[in-house]
Parts: sequence; C-alpha cells; structure tokens
Amino acid sequence: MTTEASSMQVRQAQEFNLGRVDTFPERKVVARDVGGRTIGVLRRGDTVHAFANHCPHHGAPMCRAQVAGTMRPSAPNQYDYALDGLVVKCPWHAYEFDVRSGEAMGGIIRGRLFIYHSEVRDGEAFVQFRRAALPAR
Amino acid sequence: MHETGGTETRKIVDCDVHPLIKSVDALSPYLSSRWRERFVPRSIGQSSSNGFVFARARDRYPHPNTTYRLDALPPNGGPAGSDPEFVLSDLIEPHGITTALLLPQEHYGVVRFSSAEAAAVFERANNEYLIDQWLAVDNRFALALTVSEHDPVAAAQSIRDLGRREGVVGVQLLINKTMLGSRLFDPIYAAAQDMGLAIVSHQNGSEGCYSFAQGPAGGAPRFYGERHSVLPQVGAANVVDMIMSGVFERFPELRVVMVEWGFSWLGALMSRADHLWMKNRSAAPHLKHAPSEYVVKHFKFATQPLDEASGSKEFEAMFGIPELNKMLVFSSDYPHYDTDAPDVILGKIPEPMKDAVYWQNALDAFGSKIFRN
Amino acid sequence: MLRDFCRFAGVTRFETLFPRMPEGWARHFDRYEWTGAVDLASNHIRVSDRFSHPPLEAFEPERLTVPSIVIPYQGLIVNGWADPVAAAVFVDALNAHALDQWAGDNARIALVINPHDPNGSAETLKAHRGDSRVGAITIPLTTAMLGQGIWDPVYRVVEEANWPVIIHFSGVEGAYLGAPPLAGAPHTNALSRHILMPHLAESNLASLVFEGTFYRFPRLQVVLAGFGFKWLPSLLRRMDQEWRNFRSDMPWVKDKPSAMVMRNVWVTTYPAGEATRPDTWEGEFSDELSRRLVFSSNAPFDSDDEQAVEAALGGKWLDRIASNSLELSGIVAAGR
Repeated sequence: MTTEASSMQVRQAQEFNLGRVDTFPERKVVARDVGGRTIGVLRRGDTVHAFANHCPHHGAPMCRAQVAGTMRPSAPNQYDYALDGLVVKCPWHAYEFDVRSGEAMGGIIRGRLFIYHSEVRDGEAFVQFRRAALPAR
Repeated sequence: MHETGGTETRKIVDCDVHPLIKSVDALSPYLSSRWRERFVPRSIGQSSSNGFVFARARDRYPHPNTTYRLDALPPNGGPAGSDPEFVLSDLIEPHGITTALLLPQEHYGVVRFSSAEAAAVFERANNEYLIDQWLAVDNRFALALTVSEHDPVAAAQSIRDLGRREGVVGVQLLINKTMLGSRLFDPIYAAAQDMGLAIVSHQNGSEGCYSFAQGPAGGAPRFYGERHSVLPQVGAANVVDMIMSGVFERFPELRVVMVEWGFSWLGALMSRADHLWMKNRSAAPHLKHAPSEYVVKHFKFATQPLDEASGSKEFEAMFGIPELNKMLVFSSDYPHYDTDAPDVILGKIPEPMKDAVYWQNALDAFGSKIFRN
Repeated sequence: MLRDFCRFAGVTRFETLFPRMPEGWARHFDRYEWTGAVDLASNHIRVSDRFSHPPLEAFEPERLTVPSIVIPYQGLIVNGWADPVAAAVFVDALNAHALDQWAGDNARIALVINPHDPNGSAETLKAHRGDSRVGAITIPLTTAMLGQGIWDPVYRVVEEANWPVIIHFSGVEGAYLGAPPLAGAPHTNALSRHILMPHLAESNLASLVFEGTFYRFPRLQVVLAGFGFKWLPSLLRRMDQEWRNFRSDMPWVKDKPSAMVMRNVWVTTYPAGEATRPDTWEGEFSDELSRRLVFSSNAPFDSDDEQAVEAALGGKWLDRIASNSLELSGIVAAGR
C-alpha cells in the first residue's frame, strides 16, 4: 500500500474516463486497465466505486472479488444481512471490504482496501489515483 | 523473487500444490470399460455442475467461501488446479518455485468409498493420469502417489509399480478411520521405505464429517471455521499414534511430511509428550527415545496456513519451538482459498531458517529426486 | 500465596454415599460390580493399562494450606455412564457429601453438574446460591460442547452466583461410549490419550467462543484445569484467523476470539513440568495472556506444589501466577 500511495501522489491530478456508468453491470467487479494499472470497478445504481487490485491482507487480486453483502454484528444466532452489492469479498480468504470506505467488515483487520476517488458526471464515470474521501457515517 | 543464499541460488520447494483432473472423463484411458461405466457419467446431465465432488460433506459443513481461489480458475476452462500450464504461469514461474509437490485431491473423496476395489482402481487411474499429464509436462512438478486405507496390500503393490517413475517422490496416505500407527499400514510403510518415498499426510475433508472418519476431540463443531480451528488435532493425534505404536522402530528410515495440519502446536505437544512419558514409560513399551526425538527425526510440518501473530515478538516466538529448523517445510496450498501467498510467507520466515524451510528440509524428507533439473 | 483452582477429593467407598440417596436408589446402586469399581472410578486420568489401581486417600480439608477449589472428581465420570438418571442421583449425593465433609476454611467445593440434564442441574444449583461452601461448579464433558445453548440454564445460575466453571477431564474421554472422543480414532495406549487431552479444552473453548457464549453471559469465567497451558497461543491464533475468514458465519462474535479469552477464560499450571524452559515459549504469551494463568495442584494425584511451579517456570512466573490467582478470586468474589 505504501508504494502505491507514494506513486499516487505523482499522478494525483490525472483523471481517467471509465465510460458510461450504465455500461457497467451491478453486482460484478469489472477490471479496467487505466493509467498503467489495473483497478476494480463496481457499479451501484448511479455511482461507481473503484478500488485497488490488491487485498491488504495477502495481496490477492481484488478484481476477482465476489460482490456480496455482509452480516452485521448481531445477537447470538441472528443473521442480519446488509450492504448488499456494496461489499467485495477477497477471492482468497474471503475478507470482506466495504467498497465505499475500503474498511474491512466487522473490524477483522485494520488495513483498508485502497479506494480510488471516483465520480460520475453526466452519466460518465471518472477515476483519479488518489484515495477517496471517507463517506460520512 | 529468486533469492540467493551464499553462492548458491536458494531453491524453493512448495510442498502443497493441488492438481485436479479436468473431469472424471479424463481418467477414461486409465479405466477398464467396467470401471469407466461406474465412474464416468454418461451424459452431461449426470455430472455435478460443481465438477467432481471430491471432499467433505458439503451439506454438513457448507463452506462459507469458494473452496478454491477464484483467480486460480484456468482461463481455458476447467476447475482450479486442472491446467498444469496455468499452474506454471500462475504460481511456479512468478515465485521462482523449483519444485511443486502435487497432492492430488480427488482422492479425498475416495476415503468414503465403501468398496476397496473401487478405491484402488480410482486411485491407480488418478495416479497414472498425473504421471502422464503433469509430471511429463514440466520437471518442476513432483508427485505424491495417493493411496487410501481400504486395501493396504493393493496400495503397497501400486506404490511398488509406480514408485520409480520419474518425479514420484512420496506417498500421500489418506487418514480415515484407522490411526496411522496401526500395523494395518505396515505394507504401505514397507513399500515406501523400500522405494525411498516419504509418507505425506494432508487433511482430506472427511475429518469430523463421517461416522467412521477421524475427527477432532469433544463433540461435533458447529461451524466450518470452528471445525477448521481444531482440525490440526487430527494431525497431532496421528503423529503421537505413529510414535507410540512403534512405527519408527519398525521402519527406521521412514519420513513423514504433515501438510496443512499446522505446526505451531508442536512445542506444546512435544514437551507434554516427553514429560508424561518420563513419568509413565512402561505405558509405551516400544519407545527407545523420548517422543520428541522421534518427531524431530521422522516428521516434517508444512507452513500453510501460517499463523498470523499479534506482533513480531509473538511471531518470532512461534519459530522458537526447539528444533523447528529441522522440521518445517514451505507450502502454499495453491489453488485453495486459504492459500498462503508464497512471497508473503517466504519473506516472513526468519532469516536463519530460510534455507531449511525453503528447500533443505524438503530435500531431507524426499531425497534428491525432489529436484529433477 | 498461591490459590489452588483444581485439587480433588473422593470417597474411598461408594457406600459412604448411600445415606444421601433415596433408599431405593441406594439399594439399586448397592451391588458389587459398582461398589467394587470405586478404585477404577478414582483413577481420574485412567492412563494405566495395568489391571490394578492405587488405593485411595481420604481427603482431610483441614490439612489444606492454601485456599483451594475442591473437585469431587468421582462426579466427573458420569460423562461415561450409560444411565443418565442414575448419574443425577449419584452427583446429588456426592455434592451433598462434599459440602458436608470436604468444605472448610481453605476448601470450597466445585459442585458437579449432571451433564445429562443441564436444566435439572440448574434448578438444583439455585438452592445453593449464597452458600459460602460453594466455590465453583464443574461440568463433566460430553459430546454436547460447552458453547451449545443447552448449557445456558447452568450458565445463567452460575453467572448470577459468581461461580467460575472449572473444566477438567474425567479420564474416560476417548475410551467410554458416550463420553467425548479424543482427536483421531482409538489410541494405541493410555499415555497417548493423556498426551492428547488438551484437545478437549481446545474444542470446547472454540465452541464457547464461536457460539457467542460470552456475549450471552459476559461475566462467565471458565477455568480449563489440568490441561496445561502451552497449547493456548497456537489455538488463539488459529481461531482469530478463522474468525477473520468466516466472521459472517458467526456475526455475533464481535471481538476477535483471543480478546474474549482474555476476559472470560483461564488456564492452569498443572502439569508445570511440561512447561520448563520458558525461554522457548513465553514469547507467545502477551502480558494480557499471561494474566490468564492460575495455579492448580492436581493433588492428591501426581501433583505440583509451589516449588514445582517455580522449578519449572521460574520465580517471575510464580509471582505472576500468584497475582493472577488473586485476580480470579477477586473477580469471583466481587461478581465483576
């Protein structure tokens, strides 16, 4: 993450057009090669989320992640499913990350999945190689 | 990531790579028509959409994840681990692995076969397939022939028939209802010792699942992850049983490689075994040495899944088990979901143990035939 | 001064218990095959394949020199009994005898639960709330692992009464039908079983953790006694790892498993002789984890005293164990 973060500062200003939002499927990570790196893109409704192809745990390719929801911390023997379509699950050890914040679900690790700043203007999705601001909680 | 140690390139032996056949049909050339009819589905509709169902009672402990790494699916189709070329390009080349020990996993479903004949036929066909379709492809592949406990005499014969084929380095003996110290296995151990093949033991998924399969202590774990937390117990129990039953007095050259059973419990087990044995020697009349001496001399333990410690102090202490440097071998468990990334794990091995863990202990267990190049 | 969280007491003759049973039941038990088994039942680890067992020693509470939790160990063996109803009668009689005869200034009794009837046992326990002779309870292990909901009635009473739950094997595990098996299959000798006993503690601890027992009963204190303690760090790492992988299967486990152990679980020193050379293992024990180790003597069987613990673990650990023991006693007394 540190090497990625430092190379990121150099390219911070650059913005890449990912194309029209409605060409992206929901509930499926699309791998895109932009600016010399592969990133994962997940659409949800009118927005897209873009993240590094690198799990903070063992470095697994997150572009191969499954899209899911998560089980919220709950009372014993209760399953409380939430965040459907906003959770990417590492293709190796199934660590779950919120695509909006990069946070590991349930606080299983402190490391975050790197989320790129992305935005949608006039139906077109753009990504920058800088960390997305954390969503308001 | 080829690292060098002294003047010599540091070799890397990965002691746990799982090959799969593409489909049961791939075994057709190795089966008589009678057995083809039994094993090979006659139409697509008869085969499982999940490929060959090879392990674990899926409806008992439904796996919370895919059992394999999603990125290990070969681009040309087939299940993860079924394409030797892709294993080369996905695992072996990027990490500079000198030898990958193939531990075939369809056999893990064979342990619950009721017919000893069917088990022997399937195992023989699968072993021959891997010799032809994998060992012939690249000299970085090595194979542990796989046998089950159904018919140890037939298994021993199969080991003697195939054990000299180039690239065959061990015998994967599947744990089922009988502990590995039993004399039932003597024909297998005799064949392995005669042929210079190490015994390899890998969990096979039946543990704690079937009424006659070995399981962890206590009762039935409720969750997959709970079961997986205590699964190393079965490996530990069999280590103790082999020693206490005098296997190594009967087969003093035998080497045993325990794969995916963990290793960080060894310090507790060895000191407990020695302590209790000292107090009660007559309970184990076979033993000529302290139990831990047999462990160090005859066993190797593979790294994956390497414990994640809460800090560097604990991590270092984990490697402080007496004589661990003689016992630990590297494994990735490719292409399974709980894989250990070779670059991550190899980097974490303490420097003084690196040569031993990367390759020297594997060489000690399997002999020079582990390197074909 | 140390406190002893697991020492044992037993009757030398089962007939001693007959007056504490309903008369008909006493008659039912009064047969040579059973009364003659008192020596067998008194070999609490049953590691001997010999055809004899050492004679019993009468327990004299006044001879205890340190505050001790006394386990009527013959009660543990009902985990291998075929008759669960007889087990209830026996355990009740033994508990009554223990409270009468074995409680003392330094001896508080661990009441034995009939594991075949957790609900009934919980009701019986309620009658003892506030009884200063009771220091703990002990649950003979069955195949119903300790995290399962069927134990909740027992934990409810225990938590309210501030009694720790002491867990020790009975010795028939891996041998008697119905008692929990040990890992693997039938073992080649009794020594193997003894070596592998800590696995029972592991499995039951994993069950307590993943079933969320410590969320249902946050003040519950479980003492895994007589299993040694070196096995713990490896299991904790493994459980934490499985939790990270598969938290979604048990989302009620909100903290990593090792964190729960630091709050609710204790392990004991016996047999300290397996933990010599602390330099080879103490690095695996964080400060927090090393605060979970308390003393157990295992007396009157092969046992450790303070000197044995110091000889194996050294003075630094002895001090720590002494202060841990006070801590556990304090938690229990204060109902924290």
